[in-house]
Parts: sequence; structure tokens; C-alpha cells
Amino acid sequence: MAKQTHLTITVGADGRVATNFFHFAGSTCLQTGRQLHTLLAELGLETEITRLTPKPELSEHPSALSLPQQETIQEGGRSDGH
Amino acid sequence: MSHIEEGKTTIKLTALAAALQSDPDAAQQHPCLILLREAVVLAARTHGGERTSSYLTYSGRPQTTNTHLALRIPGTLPRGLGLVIDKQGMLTFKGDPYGYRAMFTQVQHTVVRHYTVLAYAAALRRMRAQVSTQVMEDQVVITGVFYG
Repeated sequence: MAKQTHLTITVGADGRVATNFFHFAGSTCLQTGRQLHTLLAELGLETEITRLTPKPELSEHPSALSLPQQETIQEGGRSDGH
Repeated sequence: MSHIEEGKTTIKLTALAAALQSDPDAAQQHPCLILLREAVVLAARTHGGERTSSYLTYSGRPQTTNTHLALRIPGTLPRGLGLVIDKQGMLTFKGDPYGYRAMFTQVQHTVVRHYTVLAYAAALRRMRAQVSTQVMEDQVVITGVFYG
């Protein structure tokens, strides 16, 4: 997929969920994540985030994160199949 | 900026639980129950069964639940299972799994996973994303694209 703002959510058979945010400007990825979780809560889905991995550009602004930083990865290294 | 989040989901339908207690008839149109109904249909289809309004006891007596949701699978879960929302909003499953315990457990997981996928898709649509889903072996991948 070209430089279009999007996210992919992978739901595993064991109930674990991984959400991958792509091409968001500034810290909007975090805002989008919070909005998503708020809407999910309204639909009865509570998500406990166990790990947050910033991509290189987000890791340059650790104050934007409310969780401990994890190792960074190269953007585009995770295939979304689209 | 972008990032990856990993986590675990829990279904907790507190608003639906309250609606079921205050007005069970009106609660049948609650958005969460509509999603749950769809999840049950999908789960039944996944396992070659069908959605029903009751499950059966060991002696074959039909039993209903507060959601009026159940499913049965001929051959592998003939007595079926029913879905219950308790007062705290937790989703539980009722039925007699004797002789079919593995399928009883597997179907529960299938219902929960379908509900999770449907809820994520619904939330993304509320955020005005264009949503698509792709089933890949043991995983479902939901993509939400934001235009404009």
C-alpha cells in the first residue's frame, strides 16, 4: 500500500491482537489508537496493551509515549499483505 | 509517526448487561447484541452449524438464556451452547458439553474471535476508515484505511 494512512489489526486464535499503524503524521497514531480503544470499549471490548513498539520517527519523541519504550524496528519491515 | 501495539482483549458488555436487566426486549436491538448475534452466526457457519434460540440439556430439554443466542452443530456439538451476559457484563457460555468438551471450548473461542473482529471493524467504520478483512489460517487481519 502506498503512503496512505492506515492500520492493520491482526486477531490471533488465542485472542491476542496486534495493531500496526502506518504513515500517521506526528503523534496522531497515538491519538488514533486512543480513539479506537474508546470506541472498542463502547462495544464491550477491553484491550490490555502488553507491548508498544514505536517506529523510528515516533521513538524520537519518547515523551509522546505513556508506556516504556521498546526496541525500534524498520518501518515497512512488517508485511500487511495489502 | 507510527507504532505497533500488542495486547489481549476481553469482552465486557456492561452497557448490554444493564439493558438486559432494565428492558430485555429493547436490549435485543442493542448494538453489542447485534454484533454478538452476527458473531454467533459466523461461528456457527465456521463449524457447520446454525444459530438457534436455545441449547439442549443432556435430557434434550431446550434452555434459553438472557441473550436468546445459542448455536448447535450437528454431530460435533448436538446439544449446542447458549450465550449469557452476567450482571457484570461478562460473556459466558452455558450447555452440557459431556462427550463434546473439545468442540464446546473451540466454539467459544470462535465466537469470541468473531466478536473481536466485528467490533474492531465497527469501531474503524465509526472512525470513517474504509475497512477490509482477510482470513489467513489462524489469524484474521483487519485493515482500516483513512482517506482525507
